[in-house]
Amino acid sequence: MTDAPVLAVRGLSTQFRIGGAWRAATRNIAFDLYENQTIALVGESGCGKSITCQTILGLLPAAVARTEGSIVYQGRELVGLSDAEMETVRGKEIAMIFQEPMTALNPVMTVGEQIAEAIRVHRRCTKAEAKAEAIAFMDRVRIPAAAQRYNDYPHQFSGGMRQRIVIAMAMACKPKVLLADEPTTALDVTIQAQILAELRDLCANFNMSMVFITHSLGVVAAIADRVAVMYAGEIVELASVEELFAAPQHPYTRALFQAIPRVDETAENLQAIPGQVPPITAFPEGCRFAPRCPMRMEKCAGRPPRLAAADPASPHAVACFLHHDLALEEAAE
Amino acid sequence: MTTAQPLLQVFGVSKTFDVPRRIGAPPGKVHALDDVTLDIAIGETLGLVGESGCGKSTAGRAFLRLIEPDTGEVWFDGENLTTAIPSRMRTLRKRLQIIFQDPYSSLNPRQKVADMLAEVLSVHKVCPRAEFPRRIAQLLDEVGLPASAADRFPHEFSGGQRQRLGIARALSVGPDLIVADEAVSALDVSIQAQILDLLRRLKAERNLSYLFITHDLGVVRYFCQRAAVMYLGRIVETGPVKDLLDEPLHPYTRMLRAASPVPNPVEARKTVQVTGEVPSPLNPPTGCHFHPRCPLAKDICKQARPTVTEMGGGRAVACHLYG
Repeated sequence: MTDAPVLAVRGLSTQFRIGGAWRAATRNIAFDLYENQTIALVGESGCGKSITCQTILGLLPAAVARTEGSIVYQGRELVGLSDAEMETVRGKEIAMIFQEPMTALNPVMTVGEQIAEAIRVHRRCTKAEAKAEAIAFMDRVRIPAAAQRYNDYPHQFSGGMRQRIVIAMAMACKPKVLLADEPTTALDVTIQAQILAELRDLCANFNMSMVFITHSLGVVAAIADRVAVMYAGEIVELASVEELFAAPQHPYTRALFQAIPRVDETAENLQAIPGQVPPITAFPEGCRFAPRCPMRMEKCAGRPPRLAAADPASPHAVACFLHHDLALEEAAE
Repeated sequence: MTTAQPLLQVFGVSKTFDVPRRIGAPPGKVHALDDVTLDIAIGETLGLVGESGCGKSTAGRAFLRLIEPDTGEVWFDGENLTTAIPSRMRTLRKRLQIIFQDPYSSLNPRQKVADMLAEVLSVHKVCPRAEFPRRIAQLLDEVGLPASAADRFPHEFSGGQRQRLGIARALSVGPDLIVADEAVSALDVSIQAQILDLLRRLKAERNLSYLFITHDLGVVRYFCQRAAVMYLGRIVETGPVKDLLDEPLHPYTRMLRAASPVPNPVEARKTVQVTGEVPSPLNPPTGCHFHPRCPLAKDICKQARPTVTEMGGGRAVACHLYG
């Protein structure tokens, strides 16, 4: 691990135009991603985890979305880059894979040609070289009989194999950062286990860092080094995977742990979280989790708590007044 | 109420579907269900687990005759459903209900909740029309929705609330058995826990039995007493949930258990011995369907279908290791 992060996100906010007004779908997102590291963004539907990744790659149309804050990739600011400048980053430096591989593949083009095309877009090489490399990558993501299957179309593959092809395509340019948006959610557990193991191997072998989006704490445990728990557009807790699972601090994180039915332990009762995630048009003023929080205090409704470490020496940060006082925060400002 | 006799008994149910293969080639056959036998006691929740395409949803529908089984018999409360005449079947349907993964696709978007429930009540002649409003308010309250929900349309509800509507509709006719087909799979965990709690409470209050179809072993552990594991149309193992998950007998159950994500970073990173994919059900492997992926496969596994071996303690497994 080097000193400077590969990707440093600061104060990132993505706003959408809804009913004539700009509404912030995410607020003050900040994290560092170091070389060879995987950070998981975990949270329920609508918490802003996918939007954060799409913002990093500049995939949201400017007409409806605008970005504030800073995304620094290897010392280079990405916010405010033109489309042409972004093109040099997208795919080659930062690649992305999605939940549904079929939508990322062209149904009328063989999978091999699609991978070879991705190679030739970003690098000067002959068609034969690109083909050889595409087959090597298919082999690498464990597609059996890669050379023969080069000429098959996406519909001839199973869901797991299609996801492998998309991963091969993303890897083809040897990106430094892979953004993986729920890549195993649509897959059966036995296939998910294989893909997670392969992503871990690829990250290690290619010195690649990964931002892994998931709603499953079980998947987080299997893939992540660091974890950012998101709720209603904000990071509420940020910690190493070991610390987060050993001692979750934010009431939302704790509630999540108590709401999952575990396969390894019999629970008498699950603790459902009352209520539901607020819509973007009705985010509460202070802490956004406060209305559903069992530990709610009066000051929680006032102003939003900052994401900060309870112990300044620890990298375990939490946005909750239970863990650091409002007075402390004001003193720090 | 009888105690000894199971509420639902399924004997050797099979179902094949014709599948057009490629242009010019003869149609293929998918054995969606291959000699499935199981039972559900009164007040019991049986989990039916397996991966996509293993036939678990077909099973749920075939037991209710929403899909007609090719062979085999389904008995419900001492009555043979498979030979029941349509008018009798209609009466029995009040006692056999189903809820789906995506309630939105089973709700009419142009029908208000009150009209939707009134339709069910009138079709099944549950109560006189004058009592509908009271009954509807009661049902909504029972599933945790406000009375004002009656005047709203399905699109005005969140995913969890829509699942509550699906449950209210199933409850409206007073069922004894509910088939829940991935009923909580599409929901976020916090909502999933709410719906599981609701289903559990209803079970206690109404003495319901469930056939709970799911791919999530965590949900099975929490919600079910017994489970049956399916692989390519066949049941490979049945038993009490805790035994089945803590000491799985069938190599496929072991693989499924090992691959299920555990929220524990130390456990989750252990290398999982998972190989291969579920083969095409159009052309399943000979003998034991699982043999190409099985680390313990023997010669006989390629040739002969394993018979079910009773293992004591309510457990049974279809595997040559135990035969």
